[in-house]
Amino acid sequence: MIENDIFKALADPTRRAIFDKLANGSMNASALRQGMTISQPAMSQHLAVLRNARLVREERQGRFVNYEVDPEGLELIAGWLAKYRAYWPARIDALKTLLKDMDP
Amino acid sequence: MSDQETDRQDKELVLEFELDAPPETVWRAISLPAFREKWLPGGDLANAEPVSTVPGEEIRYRMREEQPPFLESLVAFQIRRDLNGGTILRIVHQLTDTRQRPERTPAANSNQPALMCAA
Repeated sequence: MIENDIFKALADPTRRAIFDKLANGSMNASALRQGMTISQPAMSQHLAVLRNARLVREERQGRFVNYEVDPEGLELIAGWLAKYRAYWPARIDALKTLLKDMDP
Repeated sequence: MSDQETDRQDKELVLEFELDAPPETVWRAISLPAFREKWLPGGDLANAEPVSTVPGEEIRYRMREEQPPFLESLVAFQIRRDLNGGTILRIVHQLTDTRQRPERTPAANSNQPALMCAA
């Protein structure tokens, strides 16, 4: 199940951090490693897991590879849905408070 | 609180809420900027101007996430009177982001930190 893959891929805090970095824009593996204490092989492994979960895709440019969040990936959509599913009830609570203070 | 929820499509959220206030009052709260700002801050919208308005019935706004990945969406607020004189507020929120591939930094092989685009 791809959903299970996504869950497992993002359960790891390092991979979550990598994914969040890539959400800002595409990057190569060495740029990704900056600011993280992680070896190159470990980074490659994490990227492979993210790729298999279809969260991240790679794009080759000659000898070099850039990584980016897969815009067709399920995680973007799932994350968006989860965020706003929690967001709207909170906004509606605020709306109810406002309505109490308004003239009918 | 959320009485009904159906994800009709993968990229759409549909929620319905029961409000005690009559539709006329709810309409002012969702359409007049000074009121709207009190429960739906402009920072959460891509544009404070509504995309479309059907007075007393429906108003739509474009939204944009404040954080990465800054996904864009379209939300419609539809109101109707319920049997008790209150209001049913229906929220139809669609993910509309049609982003193509993110722009690339020109020198991916420069071994320098990738530039981040200003939001």
